[in-house]
Amino acid sequence: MDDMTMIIEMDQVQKYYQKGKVTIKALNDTTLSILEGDVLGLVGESGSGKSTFGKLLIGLEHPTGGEILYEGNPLWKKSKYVRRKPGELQTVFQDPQSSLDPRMTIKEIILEPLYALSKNERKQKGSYDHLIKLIKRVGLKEEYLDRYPHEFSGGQRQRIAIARALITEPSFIILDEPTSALDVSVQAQVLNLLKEIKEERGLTYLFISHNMSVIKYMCSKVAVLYKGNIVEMGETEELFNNPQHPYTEILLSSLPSLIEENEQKMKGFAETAQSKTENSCIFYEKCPKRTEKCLVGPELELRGKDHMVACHY
Amino acid sequence: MLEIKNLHVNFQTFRGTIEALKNINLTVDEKEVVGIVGESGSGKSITALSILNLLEKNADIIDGEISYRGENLLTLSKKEIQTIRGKKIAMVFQEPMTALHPTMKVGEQLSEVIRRHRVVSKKEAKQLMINALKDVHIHNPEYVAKQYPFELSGGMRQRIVIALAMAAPPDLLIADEPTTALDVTIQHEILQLMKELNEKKGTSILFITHDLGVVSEVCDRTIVMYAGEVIESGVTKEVLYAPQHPYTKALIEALPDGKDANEPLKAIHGEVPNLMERPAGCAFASRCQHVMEVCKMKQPHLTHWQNQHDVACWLERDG
Repeated sequence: MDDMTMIIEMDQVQKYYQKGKVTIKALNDTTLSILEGDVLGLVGESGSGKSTFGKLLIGLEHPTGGEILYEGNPLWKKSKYVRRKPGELQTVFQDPQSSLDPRMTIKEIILEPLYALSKNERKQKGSYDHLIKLIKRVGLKEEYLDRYPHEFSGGQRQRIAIARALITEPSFIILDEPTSALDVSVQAQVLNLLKEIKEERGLTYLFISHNMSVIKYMCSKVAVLYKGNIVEMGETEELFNNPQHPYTEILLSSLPSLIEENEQKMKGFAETAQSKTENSCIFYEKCPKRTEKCLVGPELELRGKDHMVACHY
Repeated sequence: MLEIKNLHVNFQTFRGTIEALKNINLTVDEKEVVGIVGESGSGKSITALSILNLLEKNADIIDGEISYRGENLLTLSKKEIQTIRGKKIAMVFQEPMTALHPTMKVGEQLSEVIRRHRVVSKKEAKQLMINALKDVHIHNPEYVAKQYPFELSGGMRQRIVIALAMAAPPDLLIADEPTTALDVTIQHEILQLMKELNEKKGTSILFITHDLGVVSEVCDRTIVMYAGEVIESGVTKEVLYAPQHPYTKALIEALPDGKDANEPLKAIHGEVPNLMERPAGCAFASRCQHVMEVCKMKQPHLTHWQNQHDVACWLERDG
């Protein structure tokens, strides 16, 4: 493990929101690392903290506790976001409709991230040749450059967003539900493109999605989030074949799929909800396997190679 | 029970006429769950809306017939269609928040709908309302009835919307992407609920979705739409496991489900044709791997292949 470069290291990272007297724990004591060349998948339902995770990394939100290291250097100094190498981290958002400025041409949109770079770099990366090469690489045409976003379909817009993320030649890209607004046939095109680009440029991805099939196809590692806590984490194959946490089991079995012909029984939540206490397991409320032991919450522990689970059972 | 024959719908826009639906034929039988699948712009929602005459003003129904128990819905007056809407044929939409009244307690909304469709006293309506909430598996109906929509989660809201739609109770429930806005675990619960309503109460369901997995879970029969046309229909198992139309095949191939992560996905290249300038031949011809000369010249019609399985394609197939 030591000979591989860590891109991201997170140590006990917290993001709490204060709403009156209530504290909302959007992300709770998260510790994980992303190695160079990894595609880490983040799954969980809405409100589980997936997007908060991404926002902390790109500086849209600041953590209320813990430390995030990017290539060994802290990303946050107090509540100030430090950009050592601008353009190193990029994001592709879910909705290409709202993430592209409708009043800018495609050329302006794609070149905009370069304004964060030094003049020299901007000149070099923003050259016409470089731009054309990039545009063609993501499957768009040269003549599109002077058009506006509304003239494009969802799939094409997402290609534009990908080109915008690539223009600064980043080493790490956060993909926040990049295909959930797209149709199946277009989703496949975009997933293929993302995979090819990763190979060509040796990128590292953080892939946020609620779609387990997409995660399984794209990611080398997966972390399952539930209410701001990582409940299970491991290599994709291992996690899908041998899920350990009850929530992961439910998540995997509730996916309507064409493949599983033999109707395996869906594993359900507990029939009656039990209110949880301060110290109990985060999943106590709905867990079908809960016992008294779970009133004192489990910690993430290693179970098998690189497979972490937060469960007593 | 419900039969759509040769339905053509056009939209008039500033830029020209869009042929949104072309020659749609489909039926829903008693107690049947029929799924319509297609990507965005394939015309699945337009089909659903035209059944209840809910299309926008710029839509023209050029030709065709929608008959419900022998009555042509398209020739009914506004008043007459209102006796069918909600009462005989009800609808559930994608986003549950917009379907509920934001400043009215959900119990009141439900009682009101019950009183609109059935001749009952206020007291009886309240009892029926509580029962209706129990039917959609809400464990503490008295408590939930006193809440406002914003106090409920997405899954709960969608249960309320289904309870509203089932209030009459209708013969046919049209569900337009009812689970798309929900998490997978909640989606599963809602799908189970709809299946149960179908089995217990005998309500037919026309299920509109873009998700092939959802179709395989709930629908008896599946209709695949592309660019405003029905291109394949048949028993769900046959359509999904032995698809005949190249589009259906390609769509299933393009899903990442269970695919080898080392192989690229078989994406369908290109995009859906512009419906303002429909190609002369098959609408899928420009993206089809098996395209032939005839496909570009003449449009294939939905023809019978075998056991209820219909396909609109020029390719020869056995059987």
